[in-house]
Amino acid sequence: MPSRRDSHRPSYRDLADEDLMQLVQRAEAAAFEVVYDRHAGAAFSLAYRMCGARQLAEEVVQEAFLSIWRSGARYDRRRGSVRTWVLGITHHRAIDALRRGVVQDRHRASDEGLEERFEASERTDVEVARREEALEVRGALDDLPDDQRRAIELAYYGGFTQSEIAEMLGVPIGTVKGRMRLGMEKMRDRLAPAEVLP
Amino acid sequence: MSERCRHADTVAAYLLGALAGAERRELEAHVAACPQCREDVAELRVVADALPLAVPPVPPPPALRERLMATVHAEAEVLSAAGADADRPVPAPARRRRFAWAPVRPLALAGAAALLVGVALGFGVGAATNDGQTKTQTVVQVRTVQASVTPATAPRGTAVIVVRDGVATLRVRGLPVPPPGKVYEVWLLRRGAAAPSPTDALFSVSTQGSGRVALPSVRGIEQVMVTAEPVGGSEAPTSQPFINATL
Repeated sequence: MPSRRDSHRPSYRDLADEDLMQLVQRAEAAAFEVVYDRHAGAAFSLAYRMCGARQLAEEVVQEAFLSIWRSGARYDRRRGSVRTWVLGITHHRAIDALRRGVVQDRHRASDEGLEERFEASERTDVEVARREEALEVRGALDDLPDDQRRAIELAYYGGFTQSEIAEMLGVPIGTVKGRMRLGMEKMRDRLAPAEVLP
Repeated sequence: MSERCRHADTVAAYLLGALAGAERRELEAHVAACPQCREDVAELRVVADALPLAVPPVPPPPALRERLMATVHAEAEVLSAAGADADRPVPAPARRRRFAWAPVRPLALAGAAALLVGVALGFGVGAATNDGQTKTQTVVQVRTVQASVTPATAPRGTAVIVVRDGVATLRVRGLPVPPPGKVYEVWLLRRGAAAPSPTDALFSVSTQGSGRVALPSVRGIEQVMVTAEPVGGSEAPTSQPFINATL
């Protein structure tokens, strides 16, 4: 006997990201909305951190999510979680925007104070776990020797190329690459047991 | 123990996005052929994947969601309208049509808070059977343009024009119902023309503020505008356009 619940719309919010992406591939807008609601916060935070300007961060996130909507088929669950995929696309879009030279004063972007801290209204388990995860990654980064941390931050958040970083720091490219490598290895050792949340 | 590959450090730069175009392609080609670097990429990717999680959280503005979803819903609608075609399995390349629109480029619009997206996109609606042998795919050529909506008229209003195979539809959300005795009228500004031409595309909106109207041919049209006019429409605008889209 069909339960009465069957007469309700299926709740997309109960579905895992990977299942939602299959619906997005079939152009189901409601499924896409849930994917957006789950990950737009992290994507916007990343874009804002990188661009240092609200308007540009909005453009980056809009471009990223439109490309996700239009090319959902390219998501491959074997390569990682939907969240990682979304953030990877956002990162690429932000780098493209930065390298197009949209932001004039890029040096400030990575150092600008972010006064608009987000207090989540709901402290769900996932939310709490994500905060802990953020603290852990932040801690791993902060504990690196300054020159390694700086090289990683300028590259990942600043969107600078290795040549630009070498010039900014006044060291050979080989040194910049070596610092990135050492820093990443240390972070990997520290983060290895942790799993990225879905 | 094997010697370290000389590209080992470049792998880190690659994962952090610090390689410029040519360097990146070069490294990708190398990684494809070097098992040691492939392993490095897999191991260090964990760090690159974790870095976005360490930034201070900043909430995205609600208006961003509204603009994005206006486009997404409009495109989803077009795709579901294409359902009859989509059911028919045809080889994708044969379905690809010539598309008359200009190449993708960002559109500029003065004084608009809206972000504009002008795209010519090919949607692939596909389904693969379990054996992976048969692939059904229909490519629907769609172009969507986000219009700007004057916040004074509709603070939460969104408007999107969807063009599918030369047939354009304006879809609006969050608009006020026209005042009594008024109706919304669509105007088209032809390239090089001094004044917009009236159309018979007159519409109202639901109490929820949503509505849609089919537009006359938009070929050669530079701009689409909407004004509030007396019922029956006007020959020349009697008010300022509150929706503007540059095609």
